[in-house]
Amino acid sequence: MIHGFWYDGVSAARTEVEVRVVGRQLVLLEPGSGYTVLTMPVTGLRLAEDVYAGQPLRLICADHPEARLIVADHALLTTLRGVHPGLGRAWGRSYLGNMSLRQRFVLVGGFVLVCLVALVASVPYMGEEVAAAMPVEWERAAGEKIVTHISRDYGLCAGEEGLGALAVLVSRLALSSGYDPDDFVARVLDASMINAFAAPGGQIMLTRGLLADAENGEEVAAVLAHEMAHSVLAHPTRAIGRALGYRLLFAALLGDATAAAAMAGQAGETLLNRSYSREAELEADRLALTLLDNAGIDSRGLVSFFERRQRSRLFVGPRGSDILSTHPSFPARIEQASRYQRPGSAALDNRTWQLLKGICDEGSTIKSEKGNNNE
Amino acid sequence: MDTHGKPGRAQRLAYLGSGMELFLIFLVNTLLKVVTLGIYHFWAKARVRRYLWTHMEFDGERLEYTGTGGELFMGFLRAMAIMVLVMLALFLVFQVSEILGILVIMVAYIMSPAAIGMMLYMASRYRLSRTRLRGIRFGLQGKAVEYGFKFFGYSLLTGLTLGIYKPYMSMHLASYALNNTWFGSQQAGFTGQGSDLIGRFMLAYGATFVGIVAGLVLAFSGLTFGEGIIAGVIILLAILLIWYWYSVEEMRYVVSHSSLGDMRFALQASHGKMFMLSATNLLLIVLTLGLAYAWVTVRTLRFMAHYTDITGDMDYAAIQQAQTQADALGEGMAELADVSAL
Repeated sequence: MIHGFWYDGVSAARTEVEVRVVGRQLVLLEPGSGYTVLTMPVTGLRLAEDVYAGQPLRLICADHPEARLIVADHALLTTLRGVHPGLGRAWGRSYLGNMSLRQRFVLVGGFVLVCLVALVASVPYMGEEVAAAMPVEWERAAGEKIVTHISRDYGLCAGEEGLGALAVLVSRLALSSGYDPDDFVARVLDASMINAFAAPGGQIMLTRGLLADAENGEEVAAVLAHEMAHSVLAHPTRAIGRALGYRLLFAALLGDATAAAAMAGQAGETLLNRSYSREAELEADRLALTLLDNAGIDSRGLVSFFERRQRSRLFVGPRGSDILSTHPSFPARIEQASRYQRPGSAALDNRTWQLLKGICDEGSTIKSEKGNNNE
Repeated sequence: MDTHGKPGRAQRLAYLGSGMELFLIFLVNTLLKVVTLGIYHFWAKARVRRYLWTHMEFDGERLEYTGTGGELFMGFLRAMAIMVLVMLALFLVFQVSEILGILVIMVAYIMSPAAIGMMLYMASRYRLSRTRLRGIRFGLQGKAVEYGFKFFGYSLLTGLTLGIYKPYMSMHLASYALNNTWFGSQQAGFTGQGSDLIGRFMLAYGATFVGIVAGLVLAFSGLTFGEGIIAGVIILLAILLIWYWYSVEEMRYVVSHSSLGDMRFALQASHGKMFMLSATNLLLIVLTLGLAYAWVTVRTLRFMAHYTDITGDMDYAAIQQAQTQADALGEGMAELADVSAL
């Protein structure tokens, strides 16, 4: 005999009832007298809510949607499911009374953990692949945005002859290896830090500090070739895709949808303080040396630049914006570059080298507001 | 199963949930939110509420939450649509006249407390209309706009009186909300008045003033940096503590001046017990980086249920189904404006 309470949905009064399943009907009887209070089809029943261990069943009948039948004995559900197997499975309400909390904790906790680990491992990778599959125009547009964002803080150097010299150098490196020079845009940022980076779409940025530090055109050509290599290998695009994947994942984890909106603006900083993997850097170095060799440029500039930067780091100490401090793999890179480097001709003649060095001279700097193209 | 229909006059209100169970719900919700890029949020909310509601037992019967994720989602979409229309209208105003546009924005900014009050009221109307006990719906009557303008007006007064009007504001608002709360055909009531609280409020207010003056005096009295920091921290803690004392006083006052039919309520927890609850909750949240949130929620509810004393009986047979279901627009707007709770 199963005991329950019936609330008719009209008043808050509670009616004590005996519950019986007769064929496909659920019958509510008055205790003692056995007088039938109500009958309802079992197929019209559903659970009002998820049922946890120790919690009474709360049933809703389709014929009396406002009324509630409360039954503490979970055995009723087994009986009802004999007639109506879908009960408690539809409407997203589940019966959780048949497993202990500890068992469910291990099961659910384990499952969620595995899923989260899988997501953390795969989403950034997926972001990388999606970014790499973007149409070239989108990539270019994204790169332009980032360059605009960064140059807003520093300004771009606008020495026309210097930019011309830079463009010639880019063309020479690209053409001799079969790349389209129009796929690259090289600019100089009016910043004293020694840095260089590539944004998506072949947008390459050197800094005034880097030009001042370089001892000859070959060193600049080597750094330029290295950044061009990153572009060719789509490293910047992939890095941004990966970073966005991470951000999206954590935004979703923290349940903060607005964080997604703020992401695009931060892509620039990701690049500025980028750190590619050791493998990516070595790969870009190898391609850079090939570009230099194909162009007939002396490729020993890379090693001499690296070595000087490494020496100066010993004195200056690591700095966030320094090209070296974001490249922890320097000894290996110097070692590799020493193996592949070849002598060759000068990258720039003395006059163009001076022009390039003077690209940021007084009066030639523009604070870019709308990302003016200076070419 | 013996938790059901338990007699016992002493413990009419009881919270029966488990922190671990709620944590599991949070865990699954988090995963589903990530997989659905956040859209599951609304269904997650409904699921958590269903759990929290159904484990609150009163007179041997549990509360029921009948709201659904779909409803919440639709409410959110409608709120979004309204926002887009408002933005569009604002854009058009700017096309007509820039000065007019700036004026409209300024007025909207000044009036924002009214909008916040309105949203909060609509959201709690939705929640109450989705709450049932013994099959009977709760409800919130009254006009959300009226509440919003009260909220705005009292906020203004509070600002003009440098905060001193605050207890009056709280009691006026609680009075409007509670006197408009219904359980079926049974109206709830509230008889609290700001004048009963102003003395205690001014005590905390005065102590804060004294603390700030003392801090300023000490700052110019040539203490060393270390001593200054220690003195500052002590003063700050004392101020926080006295405001905590006041908030407990106010909470107890509100509870003991509320009624539902013949039922009266009282919060019997002492200041020390309340303080221990809050302090341990804070510690749990901080030490686990928020992971203990589920346990904190459950233990707080259990504490409140345990220490809430209820006298007087309900004539359940006389209470009729009388409240209609409100829609989730207000909750959606509150969500958009980031003023929603739970």
